[in-house]
Amino acid sequence: MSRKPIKAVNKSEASAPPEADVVRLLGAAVRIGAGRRTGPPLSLDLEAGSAHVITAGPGAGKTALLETIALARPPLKGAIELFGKNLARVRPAARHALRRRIGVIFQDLRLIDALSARDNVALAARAAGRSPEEYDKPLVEVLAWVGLTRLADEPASHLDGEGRGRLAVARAVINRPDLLIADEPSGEAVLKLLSDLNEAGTTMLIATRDADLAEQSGAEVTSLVPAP
Amino acid sequence: MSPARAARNGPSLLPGAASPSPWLALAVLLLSFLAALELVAATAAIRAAAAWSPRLAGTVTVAVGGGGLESAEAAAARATEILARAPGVASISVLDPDPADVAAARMMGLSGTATAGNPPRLLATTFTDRERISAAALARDLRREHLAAAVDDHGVWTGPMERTAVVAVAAAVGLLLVVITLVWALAAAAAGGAVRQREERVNLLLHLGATDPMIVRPFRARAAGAAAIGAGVGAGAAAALASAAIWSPTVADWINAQVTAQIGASPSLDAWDLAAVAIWPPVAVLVAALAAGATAKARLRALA
Repeated sequence: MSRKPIKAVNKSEASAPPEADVVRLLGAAVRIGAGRRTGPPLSLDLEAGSAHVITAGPGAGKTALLETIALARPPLKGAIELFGKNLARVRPAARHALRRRIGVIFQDLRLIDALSARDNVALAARAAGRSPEEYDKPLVEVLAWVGLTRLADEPASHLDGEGRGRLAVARAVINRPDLLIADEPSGEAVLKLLSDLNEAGTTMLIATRDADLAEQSGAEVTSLVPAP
Repeated sequence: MSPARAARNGPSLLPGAASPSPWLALAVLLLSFLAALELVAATAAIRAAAAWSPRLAGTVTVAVGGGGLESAEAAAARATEILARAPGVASISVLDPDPADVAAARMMGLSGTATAGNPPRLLATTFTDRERISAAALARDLRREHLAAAVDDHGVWTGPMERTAVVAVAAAVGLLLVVITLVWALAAAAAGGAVRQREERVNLLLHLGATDPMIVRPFRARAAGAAAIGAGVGAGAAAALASAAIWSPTVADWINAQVTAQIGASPSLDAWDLAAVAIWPPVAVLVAALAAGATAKARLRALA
C-alpha cells in the first residue's frame, strides 16, 4: 500500500512563533486498560508545530498514554504538562478549556452513525461552545478540505472506511486545535490530511504500531517498551 | 424540536436526555398527592387552632346553681356582681335558660344537689387581654361567697384543637421530609440511569470539550420536567379532593369521620386552605432538579 508519510516540520520552519512546550511528559506512567498494568515511564517534549510519533506493539499502553494526555484519565506516576499547565493541578471543572485546544482522532473513530457527516463535525463545534453562526462557514470549509462536501448530508454509517477516517479528521480540526492527537491513524487519505496539517503548523502526537510509518514520517519517534 | 429549528441550532448534544422521564413523573405524582393533602390538612388545623383557641381561651362559662332559699336567678345576679369585681373581666352576660343547661352544668362539675329541681344558670364571661384572672381563682371567689358555682375555661375544647394542630403540623413536616427525600432519591436514580444510558455520548462530549453544565443541563431539565408534571397533577388531584371536601357535604362527612378517628378532632376545610397546595410543585421541581444535577455531575467526575 502506498502512502504519503507524515512530514514533520522542522521547528525553525514552523510558521507559528515558538512558545512553551505543547506537551511535556516527565517520567509519566499510565495505567493500561482497566487492570493494574502500568505502562513504562516516559519523558518527552513536544514543541509547538512539531510532530511526534509514539510507536509500540499492541497492549503497550499507546492508547492509554494518549487518553491521559487528552485528560481522560490521570497519570499514575510522573507529571504531564499541557500548554505549560501541570494536569495534576487542573481543576476538574477547568479541564474543558484544555480539551478544547486538543483535537482527537480516536482509534475506533467514535463517530455517531445516526448523524450526518455535517452534524458529526457540528457536534464537536457545539461541544466547544460555538454557535451555528460561528461554525457554519468553517464547517463547510473543513468538509471541503477533507473531501466530504458531496457526502455532507449522508449519515456517518453510510460512509466507507476512508470516508469515516476523513470525517474523524474533520471533526478533530473543526475547532482549530493547538494539538492534534491521532491514535492509530490509517489510510492514505487520512495520513495525507495529517501531513498537510502538520505542514501548516499543527502540533501533532501520533501513536502507531506501524514501525514503517513512524520511520517514514520524519517526525521524532519514541518507542514504548512495555514494562516487564 | 422542529426539524427547521434543529437544522438552525445544529445537532443536539444529548438527544432525548431532556425529555421528562415518565416513571419519575408517575412516582412524583403519587408522592405529590400525599404531600399536597398533608399540606391542606396542616393548614386547616393551624387555621382552626389560630382562629378558635384565642376566642375560646378569652372567655369562661360560669354555671351557678341555687341553694337553700336562694333561686338560681338570684345566685346568678350575685355571681355577676362578684365577677364584675374580678381583675380583667370585660363583660358578663347571663345566658337565656335552656333545658340543656342542667347537663352542661353537670359536665362542668356542678354537683347534683345544686342542679336538682332548680335549673342552674350559665354566665358567659369575657376577659380583656391584660390581667386575666384564672378560672380556678374565679371559682374560689364565687365559692367564698357561698355560691354553688363551677367555672369552665373551655380547656376541654381548646386542648384537642391545639393538639390536633400540633399533630397535623408534625405529621405534615414529617411526611414532607419523607416525600422530599423520596423525590430526591428517585430523581437521582433517574438521572444516574439516564447518564449511564448515554455514557458513550457523554464521554465523547467530554473529549470534545463540552463543559459540565452543558452536559448536566439536559439531565436536570429531564428531572425538573418530570417533577413539574407529576407534582402539578398530584397536587391538582389533592386540591380537587380537598375542594370536594369543602363543597360536598357527603365527602366532608366521610373525611371528618376518618380524620376524627385518627387524631381526635377534625378541622373543617376552607377554600383558602387550598392555597397551601401551590407550595408543593415548586418545591418538588427544585428538589428533583438539584438531585439530578448533583448526580449527573458526580457521574461526570467519575467519567472525566
